[in-house]
Amino acid sequence: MLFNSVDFAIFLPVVFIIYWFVLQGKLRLQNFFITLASYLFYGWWDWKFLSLIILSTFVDYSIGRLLEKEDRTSYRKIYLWSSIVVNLGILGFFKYYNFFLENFIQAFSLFGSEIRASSLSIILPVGISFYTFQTLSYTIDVYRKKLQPTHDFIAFSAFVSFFPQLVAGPIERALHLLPQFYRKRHFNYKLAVDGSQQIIWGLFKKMVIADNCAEYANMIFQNSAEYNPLSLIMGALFFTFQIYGDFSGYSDIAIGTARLFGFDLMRNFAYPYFSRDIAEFWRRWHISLSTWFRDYLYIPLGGSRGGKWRNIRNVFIIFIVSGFWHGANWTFIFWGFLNALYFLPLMLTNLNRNNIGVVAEGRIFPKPGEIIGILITFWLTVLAWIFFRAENLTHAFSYLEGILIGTGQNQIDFFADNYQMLFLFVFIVMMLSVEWLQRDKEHGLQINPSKRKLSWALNLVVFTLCFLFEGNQADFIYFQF
Amino acid sequence: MKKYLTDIIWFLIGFAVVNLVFLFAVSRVDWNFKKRLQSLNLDSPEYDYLILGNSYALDGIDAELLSSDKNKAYNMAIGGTSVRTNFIQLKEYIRSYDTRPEKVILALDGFRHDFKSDVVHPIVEFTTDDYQYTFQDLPLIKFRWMFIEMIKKVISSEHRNAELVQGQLRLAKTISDKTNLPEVPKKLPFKNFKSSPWIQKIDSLCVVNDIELVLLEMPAVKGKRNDTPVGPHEIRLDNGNLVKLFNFNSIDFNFGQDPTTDWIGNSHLNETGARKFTRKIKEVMAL
Repeated sequence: MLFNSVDFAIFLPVVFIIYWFVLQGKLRLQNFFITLASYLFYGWWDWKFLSLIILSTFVDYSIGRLLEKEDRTSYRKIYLWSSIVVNLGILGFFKYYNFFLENFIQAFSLFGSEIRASSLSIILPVGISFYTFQTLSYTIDVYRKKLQPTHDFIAFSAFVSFFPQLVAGPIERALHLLPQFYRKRHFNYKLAVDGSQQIIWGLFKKMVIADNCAEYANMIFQNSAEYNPLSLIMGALFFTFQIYGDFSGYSDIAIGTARLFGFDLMRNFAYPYFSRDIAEFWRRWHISLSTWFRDYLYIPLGGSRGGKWRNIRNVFIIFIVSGFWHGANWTFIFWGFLNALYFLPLMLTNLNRNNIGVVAEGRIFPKPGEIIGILITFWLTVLAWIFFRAENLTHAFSYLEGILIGTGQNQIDFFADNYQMLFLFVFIVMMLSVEWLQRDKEHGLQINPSKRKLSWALNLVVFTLCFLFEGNQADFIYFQF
Repeated sequence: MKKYLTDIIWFLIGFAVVNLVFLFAVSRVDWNFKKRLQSLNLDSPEYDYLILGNSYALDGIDAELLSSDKNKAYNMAIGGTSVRTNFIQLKEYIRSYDTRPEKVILALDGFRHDFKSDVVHPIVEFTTDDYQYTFQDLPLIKFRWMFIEMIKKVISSEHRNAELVQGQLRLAKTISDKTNLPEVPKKLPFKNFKSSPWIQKIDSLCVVNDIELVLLEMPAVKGKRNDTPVGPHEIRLDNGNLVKLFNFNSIDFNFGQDPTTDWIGNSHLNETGARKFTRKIKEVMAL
């Protein structure tokens, strides 16, 4: 079920009404109902893959209980690795089987050996990378004794399948989200209003920015050999805003929806395109994944301790794995590698934690140095997105060649489709301006609840724009990850 | 909770009002919508020639010029319609008014469509008597594409100054035809006309009501022309009936068109082009 669909527009109020009006005060029933609603939400795509979520739930719940009873380190390790093998095994099979097989065959062919193996027609279950990492975080935290294993199977099922963030995050930590399922929830007006505003802002970013940008980005990337350098640069820019609008829009809707039910999800985006360096960008982009890799991969590998070379190795590992997490394609791996290259100079010069706070705090306009930093970071990111969006590495490099050498002739028509592209520019500027003004707040439409009428009037305007300028693409990009 | 629900109710009321205002605005500003409402409430519907079709016919056939002392014509074409929509329009016309036209001129674009589409034009669908409304019919969803048209009308004087005359949309704007005749000449796709279920339905409706159906292939820019003769061609539809078809898209057909003054882009004629073309229709079809 898509957030920007009629199905969800019916589903959400029905679940909301039953949750608050019928089940108010009945915690276990509320949790059970959330689980059922989440399964329905997920099963709307393909009910068969629900079995994978249920399997993950059973495995990690059981291993959590086993870890609780076991003090012997060797056995605890076995339990932990069982969870990792099952979860990553499922993920690996559905997501990476064909990739490894094809590359294995290619590698052997380089040495003159021919291996006969046929790839499988595997459908990637929606959101598998997200809920797998979420359940893994539970088991790892229980293993590390940071978290008491739960005895409440229903609460745990609700935690694994919680529909607002099930298919595209934020990837929640058990430490943060699971305890919220144990506590009685009371309706909070301020939280619900803020959640509603965040949903509307998310819809705007998805429906108006991402879906319209997608049309032009697809058109240019799919025919990149025909376009001139300016058009190719525009194509990369369109994708830059498409992926931001799409993913941060989804996160906003997810966080806002969770708030309607009394839950607080972690922040996933913090205006990343206003970052002054690439380190800051990675503290502001897909925060739940970056911090997951930091806590469960980077730090166990030694983090920044243990010498320069080890540190460099760890940076490359974390960025490359992060790229690979996005999909079974060398483009994602190269994208991760490129970001590691961007990050490395900052780390080696100890400048990676230079820009921590809000940019231009207390001022309307940034300083010249900040502007330069923002622009450099932005264009480095645009360059990296070319690899992320390209079909394969050859395509990505030919795209870059097209920009640098100008192999194509066609120029995109800025006035085509009834000035649609010009309207899109206006909306991108509008989004950036609103987010710049709101950069010390959690989302673009966060308004003081005391200004009740103004806040709802603005909501109405933005909501109306979502319908008037809705683009055609419907699926969220990150569902495929 | 009560406070939040009150807010939500006000928000939904506001959204409903926005939808109504939008619907009111598009029905007053959009040419297709105006035209549709006009054709549903004709003061004197006694027309001899009724023109059906999509935007090519809407812009390109001058119903005023086609009329004479003896015969009155009305251009009922709506931009973006399918032949199925034209069938619905004709059925409604026959049901709503006591009068019957002598001829129905179905102006088509065989160079672009195969006439099999089952899609009903949203404006026609929305304003049909027995239509069952759903959530998807909220004006902001159903007619959102018209918003840009409304803005164009506000911004551009050429769009603002266009007018509807006997159903024809007269636009003075000019966009030159810079296309060239196809290197390999195309043929008129007769098969598409013969096999279209919706043309057959229109034909059956005409037979029952004693109306002559004439099919007309509209002119197009040079790049979209065929080299089939103008005709008339007698074509046998798959339902067995014979219908006359005039191919005004023929390379040989000349209505004195000037590529620099008569077109408005995408094979649509402007008011000058439409006048020239309509004179030629009268001559060729002896109307």
